[in-house]
Amino acid sequence: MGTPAAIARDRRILRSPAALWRAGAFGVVVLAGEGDPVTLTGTGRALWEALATPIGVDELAATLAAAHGAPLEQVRPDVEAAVARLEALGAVEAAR
Amino acid sequence: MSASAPSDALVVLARFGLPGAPEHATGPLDPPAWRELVAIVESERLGPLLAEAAAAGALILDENQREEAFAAQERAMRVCVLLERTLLATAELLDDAGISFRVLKGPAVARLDYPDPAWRAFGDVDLLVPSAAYDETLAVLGAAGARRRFAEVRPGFDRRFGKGATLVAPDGTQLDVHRSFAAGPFGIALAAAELFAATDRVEVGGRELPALGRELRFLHACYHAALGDAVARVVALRDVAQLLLATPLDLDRARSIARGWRGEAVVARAVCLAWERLALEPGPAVAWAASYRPDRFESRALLAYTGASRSYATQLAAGLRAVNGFPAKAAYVRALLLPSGDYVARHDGGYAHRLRRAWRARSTVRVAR
Repeated sequence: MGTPAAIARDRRILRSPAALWRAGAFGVVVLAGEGDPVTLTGTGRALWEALATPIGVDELAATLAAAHGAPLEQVRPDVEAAVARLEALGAVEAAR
Repeated sequence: MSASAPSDALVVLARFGLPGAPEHATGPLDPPAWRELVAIVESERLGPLLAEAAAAGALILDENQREEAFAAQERAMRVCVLLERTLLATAELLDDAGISFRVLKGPAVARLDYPDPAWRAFGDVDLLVPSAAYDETLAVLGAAGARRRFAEVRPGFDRRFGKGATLVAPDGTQLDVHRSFAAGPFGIALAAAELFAATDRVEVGGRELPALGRELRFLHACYHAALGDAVARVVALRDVAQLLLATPLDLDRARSIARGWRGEAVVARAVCLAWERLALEPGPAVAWAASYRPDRFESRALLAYTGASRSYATQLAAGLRAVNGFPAKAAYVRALLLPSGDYVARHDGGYAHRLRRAWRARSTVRVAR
C-alpha cells in the first residue's frame, strides 16, 4: 500500500452518510463502497466519533491529543494517515 | 467468589440493559463454563450483548474472556454492515422495479428499538413484500443473481398461502423474502395487506428505508419467537422484551391487531416465553399473557408449531382450517396432495410418500384437538 495522500489541513471533513458502521468496546467497524469492512481500534473510535460533525484535521488531531494526553506532534501523523485511509475507502468526505 | 454457571451468565447478558431487569453482576466463569457460554452465544447471535454486558461490568470476566467477548461483537458487526450493504442494494432493485417493501427483523429492530445498533446482531436480510408483488420480487432478485434455496410446494402457493422464500445472493448472503409472518395456520389467518398499514423509517447508510410500524414489529417478533423454532431463540425473545419494555409500544393496539388475525395466543406465548427465559420481573404484560386462554382455533393451530409432530408439513396441513372459502381450500388441498416435481424431489422423494405424510400430519393435529 502506498503512502496516503496528504490531507489539506484547512479542509473540514466528516463521516460519509453512506458509510455503514458499528461501534463497541472492540473499536469501530466501518464499511464504505465495495470493499471489506475495516476495524478502527484504540483511538480510532474517538476519531470516528469526532468525525460525526465537520472538523479540520488540525482540530481533530488537537482534540485527540488532548483527550489522550499525548503530544500533538505524535498524534498528528497518525490522524492524517487514518483520515487518508478512511477517505480512500469513501467513509469520510469533505464537509459542504 | 465462586464460579458462575453458564446458564446464569446467559440470562444476565440476554436481559442486559432492559429497563427494570435485575442488575446484579454475575461471574467469573471457569474455562469450561466460559467455553460453554461462548458456544451458546455464537449459536444464538448474542455476541453483542455478551460484549456490552462485559464492558458494563454486569458480567465479570477475566481479561482474556473480555477480549474474546469484544472480538465476538466485532465479528458480528462486520457481518451486519455487510448485510446492510446487501439490504441497500436490494432496496434499490425493488425501488427501481416499483415494488413496495418493508425491512424486517434484525436490520430494522437493531436501529429502531435497541439503544445502539451494535447491541443486536443478525445473520440475514429479511424483507416483506405485498402478496401481489411476491412473484415479481422473486423474478427481480433472480435476475440479479439470487437463487431460491427451496422450491415452493406448487407454483403460486407461496404468493397465496405461504410465508415466503429464502434466496441466496451471488455473494452468499441469505435474503428472506416474506409475504407473511409464519407458515401454516397463523400465517394464513394473518391479514397480510395490513402489514403495510403503518410504516416507520429506518436510516441505513444515509438512506431512509421503510420498516413495519412499532406494533407490527412487535407482532412480528412475537410470531418469530413463538412459532419460528421448536425452541425459541434467545435473541427473538429479547426482541419481544426489548419492544415491550424499552419502547413506547401500545400493547393494547398490538393485541387488537393480533386478535383480528386470530393470533392473540401467539403474542401471549411469546411474552410468556420471553419472561421465563430472561427471568424478568412480573408486570402487566406477562400477567395478561399468563392468564390468556387460547380459543379453539388458536389451540389447534398452536399444536402445529409446538407439538411433538412440529414440522413444515404439519404446519401446511394444519393451515387448511385457516383458508377461507371453498375454492381456496380446494386449491390448498390440491397443492398439498399434488406438489410440484421440484418440491417433491427435494423434500419427499415421491408423491405417494408426500400424500401419506400430509394426511398423517393432519390426522395427528386432529387427534390432538
